[in-house]
Amino acid sequence: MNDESLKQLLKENLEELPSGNFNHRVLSSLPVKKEANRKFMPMDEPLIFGFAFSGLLLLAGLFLFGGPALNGSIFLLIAVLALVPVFIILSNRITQRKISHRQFTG
Amino acid sequence: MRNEDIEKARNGDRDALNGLLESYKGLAYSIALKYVRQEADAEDIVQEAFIKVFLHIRKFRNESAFSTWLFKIVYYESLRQLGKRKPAGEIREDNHSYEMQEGEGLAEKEKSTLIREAMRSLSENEYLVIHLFYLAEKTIREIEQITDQSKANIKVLLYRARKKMADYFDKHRISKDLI
Repeated sequence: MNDESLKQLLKENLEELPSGNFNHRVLSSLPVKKEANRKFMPMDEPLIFGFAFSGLLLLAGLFLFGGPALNGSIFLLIAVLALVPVFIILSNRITQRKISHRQFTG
Repeated sequence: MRNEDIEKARNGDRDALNGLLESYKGLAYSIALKYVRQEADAEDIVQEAFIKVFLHIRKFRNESAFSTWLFKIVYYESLRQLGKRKPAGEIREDNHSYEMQEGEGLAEKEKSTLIREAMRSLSENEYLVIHLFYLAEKTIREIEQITDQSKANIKVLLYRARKKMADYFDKHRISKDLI
């Protein structure tokens, strides 16, 4: 009797586990791995940051080099445009934190 | 089992853990059943062994094969289970002899029964060693790690198991059909 046929024979005659859900029972006994607390950073946030940063740069440029030609209303408009994204991000984070807190405390 | 699958399992990947279960549960169960002879007990042993291994898989350092670690737990759990029923330290080496009908041109069903009987004619330790050697493809050194038995003893068990199987098939004139 050669090794390969013996191996085949042993393989074919292995006992089968009677429970069909054996794998599930083992896996469900294991603690579920908690996902690492990911900081909330949606894909569009870098874009908003970029937009706010450009606005602030423009504002600083106008403030420094605009001189007397700088119109107050233009300055205000750009300031608002630059700050709106910052507020969006802040509000986004606050909402996210509140949702997570609610889910955690049930 | 590939190292990357073990690595995935170590990181808690459920598919990889399921893959490990699929790869080894049959052999682990067969070995446990040979020792404890009760399906429910054997299943509990295998389940406990897998849970133990999976819970500590992060500590696994690849110093030996994953399956060596698993089969060692299955082996010792089986012995522990046996120890509950009979005095500790005593490992059965009883052989079962089955009087089978001899005859030419055995039908498939009869052949399958004969093979099962041949398996049952092996002692627990012979069954363990021959399965680890041929199916799990463990070396004598690895079997030594699993069972803590001497190399010489393992070689004797392996020789005896092979001989018993061959003799059994020769006796029942089915070796030619199998090879």
